[in-house]
Amino acid sequence: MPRSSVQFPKARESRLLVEPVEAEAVIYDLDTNVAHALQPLAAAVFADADGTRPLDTLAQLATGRLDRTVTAAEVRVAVEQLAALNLVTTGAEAQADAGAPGISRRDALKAFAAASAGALLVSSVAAPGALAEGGNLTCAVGAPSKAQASDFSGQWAATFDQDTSGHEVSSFGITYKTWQSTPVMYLVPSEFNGYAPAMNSGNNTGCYYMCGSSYTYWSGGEWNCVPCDAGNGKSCCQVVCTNPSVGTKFYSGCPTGYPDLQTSGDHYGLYCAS
Amino acid sequence: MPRTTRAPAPTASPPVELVRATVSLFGVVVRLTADSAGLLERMQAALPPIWKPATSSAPEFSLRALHDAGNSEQLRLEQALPGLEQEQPGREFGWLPLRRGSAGVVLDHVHGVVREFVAHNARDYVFIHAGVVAHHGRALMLPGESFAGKSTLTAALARAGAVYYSDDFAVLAADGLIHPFPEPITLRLTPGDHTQTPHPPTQLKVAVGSKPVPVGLVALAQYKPGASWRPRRLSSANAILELIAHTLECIDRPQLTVSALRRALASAPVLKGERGEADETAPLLLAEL
Repeated sequence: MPRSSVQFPKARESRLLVEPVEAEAVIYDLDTNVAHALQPLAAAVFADADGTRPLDTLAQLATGRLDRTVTAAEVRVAVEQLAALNLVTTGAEAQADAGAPGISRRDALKAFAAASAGALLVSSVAAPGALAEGGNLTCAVGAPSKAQASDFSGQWAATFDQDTSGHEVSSFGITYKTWQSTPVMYLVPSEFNGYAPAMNSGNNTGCYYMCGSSYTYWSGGEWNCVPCDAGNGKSCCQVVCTNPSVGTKFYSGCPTGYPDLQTSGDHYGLYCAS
Repeated sequence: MPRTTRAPAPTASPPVELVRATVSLFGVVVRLTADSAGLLERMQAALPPIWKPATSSAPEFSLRALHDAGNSEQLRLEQALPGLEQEQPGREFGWLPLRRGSAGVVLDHVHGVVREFVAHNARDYVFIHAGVVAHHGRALMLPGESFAGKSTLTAALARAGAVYYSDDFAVLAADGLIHPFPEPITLRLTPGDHTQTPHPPTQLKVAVGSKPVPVGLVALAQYKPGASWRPRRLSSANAILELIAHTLECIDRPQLTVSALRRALASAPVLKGERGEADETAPLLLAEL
């Protein structure tokens, strides 16, 4: 029988910041921006789970680290909690379904409940950041779902659909302007909260996230132009932010090579010549 | 004094001379622009009281306040978008309108936006929602969100003899030391009132800290009428987690946040519980330091 990861759990190594704190550990997941506090048993299991050690070996190592007897059943509970948070890899469910030998989930939970009164071995908290709510403001995050072809005269209303991260729908007005034949823009009203389109001025292509009266700017966004769904021979261009925590596309004028907006006077709209 | 420069007016007629000052707050370079020296001085006076003249000429954040044409009593405040700040005769680009109103309204807004920008963008510091006082050379941090009563407790601690460091943000450096951020203490006139009134530390006649101090105690004290302060001590990892939840900006600098908190809490207990009235709790907390 091939080795099953339920018996040979392996701690995740990538995209984690691990900070040992006495017998515990704080782990920051860079993919989810969630911080975890590992109690001593979970920290010990995480430290020793290298994918080659079975649960009873991990129990022996934890016994040495914690200066108390740790059973394989307790280790299994720790592994399951860590696996649920994507901090270790395990195939516990698959193995249980297959009736493979090992410590049953019931036995593990029973043993652990007796040992720890059912306490969680890992606590977690989402890290506050730029994309969280700023103060009491509700910050809209999202991108227009459809091209707005009707109005090239300057201000237009952009309807934001709810994005994948579940932020609320919002709309706002934008005033576009050009400067020395380079499309730049700013926004009205000033109470706008959410993603602001980036400007197209050479090195400054990027993304703003605005909340209230402050902003965070990410440079280095990439353009993505596709035919507009209105089928009018023009393209809709978006910037895809390079910051993974932004990750949302939004309309932003035209990149180099799409001259249409530069000939529409001081005001321009959403579309670029294909 | 901050470095000031003069630039041509942004509009062709009538020509207006703009005056500028470049200042630094926790390493964040901020440029202020105004259409008169007097207004520029008032903008500087409105800043959080920890600014220094900047040694760098490249601002990360630019604000300008201008008198409205035809209404000298009214100001408009604008914020430059990075890389687009351009002021040439007859041309203005990249300025985002922020606020229009009386000088008092606009200058309050200057304070607010600079404070918010610095808190989000100071790369070498971790800003934590917390009141801070110091006692015997060690900081007492009181993490809490709005309406948790931290300002009331901070003021009570200062009245009880502690040195005032901050009302709203604990500013934590990478070495784990807490830096002063002594803004006016915002207190509610009546319990439950959502209107806060700022009280300068001098008005409250409390001592104000000026040097970084190590953390001696963290108290997560939630106000509950009639409660007694009988806290439980958090484990080290859970303590760090609690404080991460109170940081203003962790996503952009998680390594700094976690390591600075570990250093800060290395010898500081973190207590959590409900408390009663601030004046009753303050001496109990000071006795822990």
